[in-house]
Amino acid sequence: MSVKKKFKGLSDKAVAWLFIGPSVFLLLAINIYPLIYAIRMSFTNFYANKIGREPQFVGLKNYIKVLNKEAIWEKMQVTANFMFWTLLLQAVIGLGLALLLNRKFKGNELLTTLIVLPMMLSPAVVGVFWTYLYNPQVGLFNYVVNFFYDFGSFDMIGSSELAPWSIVIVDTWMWTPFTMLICLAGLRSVPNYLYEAAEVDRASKWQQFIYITLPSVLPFLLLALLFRGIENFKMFDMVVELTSGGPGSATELASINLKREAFEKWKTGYSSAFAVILFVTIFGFGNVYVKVMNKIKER
Amino acid sequence: MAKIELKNLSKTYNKKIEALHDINFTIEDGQFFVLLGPSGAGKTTTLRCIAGLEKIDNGSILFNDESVTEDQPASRDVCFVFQQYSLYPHYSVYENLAFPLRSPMRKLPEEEIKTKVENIASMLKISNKLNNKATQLSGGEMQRVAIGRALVREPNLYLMDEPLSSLDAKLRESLRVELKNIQTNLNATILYVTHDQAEATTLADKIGVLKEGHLVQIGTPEEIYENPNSIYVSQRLGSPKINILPGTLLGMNDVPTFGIRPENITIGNGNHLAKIISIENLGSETVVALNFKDQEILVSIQGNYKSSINETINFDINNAKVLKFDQEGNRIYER
Repeated sequence: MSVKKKFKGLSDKAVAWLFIGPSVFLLLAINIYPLIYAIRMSFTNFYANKIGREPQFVGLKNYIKVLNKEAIWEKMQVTANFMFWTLLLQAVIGLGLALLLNRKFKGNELLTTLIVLPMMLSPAVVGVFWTYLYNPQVGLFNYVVNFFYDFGSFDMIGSSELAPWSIVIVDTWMWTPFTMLICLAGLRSVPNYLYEAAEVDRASKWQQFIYITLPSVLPFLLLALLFRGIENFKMFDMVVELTSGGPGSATELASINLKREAFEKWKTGYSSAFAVILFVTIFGFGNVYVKVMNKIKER
Repeated sequence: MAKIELKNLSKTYNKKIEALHDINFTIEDGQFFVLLGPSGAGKTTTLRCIAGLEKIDNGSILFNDESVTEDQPASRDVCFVFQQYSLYPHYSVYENLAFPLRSPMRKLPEEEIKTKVENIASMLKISNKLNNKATQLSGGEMQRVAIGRALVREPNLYLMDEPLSSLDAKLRESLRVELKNIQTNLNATILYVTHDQAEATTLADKIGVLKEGHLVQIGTPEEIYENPNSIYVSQRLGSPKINILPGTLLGMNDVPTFGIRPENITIGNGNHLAKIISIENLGSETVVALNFKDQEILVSIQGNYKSSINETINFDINNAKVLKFDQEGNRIYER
């Protein structure tokens, strides 16, 4: 009774709101309000640089324009390509490295730390210093590649065929450690007695991998790829610093194109519609992916 | 099946903790051998050494007179039922049972695997669970799958590490009976680890008693029960526990301690007088605790016993059944 009296002023519910209130407020102010604002803008012909001009409602015109523009589909293709190769490489190399680092050997922890380093750098910085590494005259990258096989002179960033690969390589270099870390967590969670049981059951190393390791690590790998997928769909800073979308538009991802439309050409209404389309796309894919992932986990 | 022989087996963990010390024993082909001892005695380590999951420091392990000491677990061809079920969590019961048959070392056709798995499943009464995922089973079902996964092959030796310890009493008893039947039918060689004396006596052809990494006695259940070579061994079997008393109590001044089993004491006649401390009626028998010269003595009596606490009664000790022990707790044999 006395305890109840002491805290008479605040009910449980009030305390709960007190705790989550600030986060909810920030979420609403920074995420939800701009989202709703952008959706509203996407139905208007608003130009943010034309002050004083009242935006007019134009219905679905912006959406139709975006979806009918061939260039947009090209950017989407560049983005899809970028995502496919980065996710594939990061899954395979990340899992491979995790399997190696899961073994006990001397220097294991030091090596893990070194491998994880790229992930901790700023993407913009990574973009800038890879422009030096890719430099055809003095860059380390070309030197190393030519050390193994002499391709002669080539320009990773300058050539429209190689530039898409240049961003795939940098993103893989930077973010493979992330998939590796999460896979490693998955591997560490596999109890050792399962391998002992399999060994007594005379399973080959390959069977042990297929029957025990892979199913245990798969949910972790899929989760890492979900994070990487969402991030790479929105990839901006590293690519802008490295290639700024070029040469031509060889590496112009959807997000880079969006930024140009919105803040260089100031087509606010049009780019809002584009942004909403991108948002719905990733939201939809993300949801389907999570459903599939949960199915796999339940298995 | 095979004859298993351990010669001078020693195992030390981390160069410090001696888990097994000079273990020697032989399991004949088709024998049910039980290792008995409290936790930490080295029972599981012995099994793991035989399976090849632990490297041994000294000695040798022979299957049918051939050394397998350096062999990998797979080439030893043994089965291991672990204490934790260790089923493959991502697969169905069927897949779990079929797993050992899918080893590249056997390569059985799929139909043969199916018949074998179904036979084992019906024997262990889990046929209706074959399509369930391993993690959807109850503890008892999991353990039966784990036993099934061992029985589905015909290995050199079955190693079982307290396979029934996590089951409830009723299931434990029925599986115990079943296990013995299976062993007799298959004429299987089994090395079974337990700290449960009922399991040890009912299942074993031979019992080996482990104490802190030392194998202190090997014998049939009767030998271990009737003729233990130390106080330690005498206390491993028998319920209620054997009475360990100072020799002076019976006027044996040259015997430091003696042991007498509760059923070898009779109440109602004899020339010793004692007070009743407690009476426990267990149905088929009654356990009476007596206070005799400030020592507690347990007596077990067939059937029901009517008396009351604090009553003074006569009792008699069957002198032929008295086990005499020396200062170190080792048996003094009559010459």
